[in-house]
Amino acid sequence: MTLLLQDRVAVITGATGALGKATSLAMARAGASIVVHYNRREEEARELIGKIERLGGCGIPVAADLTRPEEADRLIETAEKHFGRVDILVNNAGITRDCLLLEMAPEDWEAVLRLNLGGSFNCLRAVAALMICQRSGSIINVSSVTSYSGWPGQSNYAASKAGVDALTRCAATELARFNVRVNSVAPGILHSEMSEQARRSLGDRLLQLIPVRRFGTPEEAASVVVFLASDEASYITGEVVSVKGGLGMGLPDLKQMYQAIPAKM
Amino acid sequence: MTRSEILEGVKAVLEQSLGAAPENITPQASLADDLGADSLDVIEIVVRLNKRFSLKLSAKELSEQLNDGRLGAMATRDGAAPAVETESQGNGSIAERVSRLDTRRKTAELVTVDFLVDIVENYLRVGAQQVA
Repeated sequence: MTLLLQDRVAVITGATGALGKATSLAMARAGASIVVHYNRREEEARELIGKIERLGGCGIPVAADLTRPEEADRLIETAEKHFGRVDILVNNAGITRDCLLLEMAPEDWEAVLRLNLGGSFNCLRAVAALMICQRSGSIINVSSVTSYSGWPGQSNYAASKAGVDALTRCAATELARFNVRVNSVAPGILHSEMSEQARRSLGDRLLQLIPVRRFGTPEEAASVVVFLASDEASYITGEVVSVKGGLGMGLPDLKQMYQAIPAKM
Repeated sequence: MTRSEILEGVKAVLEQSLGAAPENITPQASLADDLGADSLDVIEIVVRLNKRFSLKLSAKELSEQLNDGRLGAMATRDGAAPAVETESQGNGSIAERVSRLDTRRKTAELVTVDFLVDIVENYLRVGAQQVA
């Protein structure tokens, strides 16, 4: 049986984060070779490579500061030199610097925009040149539900992700001719370092916003990334696909709601 | 690398990018008028030229070189070589800059196969830094 991403080469940025790790492992399981990008967490990158190899996969670590275009170019060049091609780019590297609007320092605004939006652009531009010549490729930008819903303390992060979604749509239109697809995956609240503080401080009240009444796992978002990267999604481009357990559909107390709806007997 | 080798490489790139028939890729053929290239095609052609000849050319640079005539004997369709700009780039008047933008838009129309060969030949001869 052919695996979903058999013999594909995937570059995953920020691969040492929760979603990055889950995506790397899911893609390795699906048959892809993985370029594990990291910035500072070298040891975790090497551990991840070890896990990929134990799955029978293949991976290489590459360190790069993606806010610098020349480093993003080097990441893609290294991937191509090592594996001969790049079929998938997952723009996953991102940071938060949560702060209320009026307290937000310009550096907090810029740092988040430079990596989340600027880094995604730098990698996308670098890989697009390759994919155009290959006449194939799939790019997945990791966005967030905050890009369209807003969240207090995250004006920098939400703005960066809204920018990422706009980048997704524009790039999708330009690259469609070359059989290169570009999509966003917008996770809700996952079990990850990034959402740890919100989950800890708001806990159950946060769950009331989520009809499935639990936080997502990184693996549940990763499986959507794998799908969009694969030929199974060959007619999907320029989309923002949410993975959020129904977050935002506002069902604060299901029991009360269902009690209010008369049952037909 | 000889000029004819470069020409062969450029032809191969145009065949791949535009699906053009080899007999239509003559030295005087215009990328847009004769071979049907648009701005996205020019991007692809530049990427492929870079890979094939190990250059670091950008589409923007291509149009700038077309405009400021630094290569001297560049063949545009009507054979007129643009005036050589002596001032360093970016110091031109607003009108000159606007005209540069106009030309950039028309890159695909003005660039001929011969022009691409000139660019590559020059790049390989003097190195990227002097043409960039």
